Amino acid sequence: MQFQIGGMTPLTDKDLAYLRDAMSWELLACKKAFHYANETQDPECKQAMFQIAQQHQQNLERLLTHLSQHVDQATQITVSGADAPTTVM
Amino acid sequence: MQQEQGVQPQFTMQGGHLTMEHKEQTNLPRVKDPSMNDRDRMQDLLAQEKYVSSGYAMAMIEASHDALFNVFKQNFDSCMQMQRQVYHLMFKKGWYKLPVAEAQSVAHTFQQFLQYKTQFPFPPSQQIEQMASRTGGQQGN
Repeated sequence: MQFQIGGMTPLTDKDLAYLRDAMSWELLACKKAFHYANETQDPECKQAMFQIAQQHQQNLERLLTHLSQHVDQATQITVSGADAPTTVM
Repeated sequence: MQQEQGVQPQFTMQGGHLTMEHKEQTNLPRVKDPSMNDRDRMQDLLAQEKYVSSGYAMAMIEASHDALFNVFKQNFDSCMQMQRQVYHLMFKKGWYKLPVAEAQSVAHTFQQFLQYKTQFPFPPSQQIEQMASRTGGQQGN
């Protein structure tokens, strides 16, 4: 049995674990900064907190975009050597 | 993101030690209660950036391919920038008082490592040699 991988290098278990961790950090960071921004009365703090919330959302979206490329790719890994080529994942 | 610029610090003697801070009206409650104030919130965001960026530092080291490394690195840089922004704002608000290192300790450390130039595997640069010859008389400090 042989696996053929088209296009980019696939994610390893560890890559995926870090991506998952990083996305949960970014989501929490984003929500927390947004929550604080709505709580504070100080205009300077408020502005900085909104910026931080926004930046963390951008970071999260960057991770998600990278992950999406691997989702498309995962369907291209086919197993040959069986009766007929089958798509895994 | 726009970078918060640092402010000029003021220096005061406190308890016989030189301290660096920026004095400003801080908008903190006079009498502190258990509820979160602005300083607590900023402190928490600072700790958060520290935690997330150290996580990215490890993720970068362990990334299996360059595209993923670059994604982690971009987010790492972003977190570092936010960390500076939060720090600058907290300093500006006067929420940070930083003790200044003793001039003597600074000079001592400099001298100590300048003398270690004999251990450098490559010839020390011109600049290092010049500094060594300038301060050569003060060795063994």
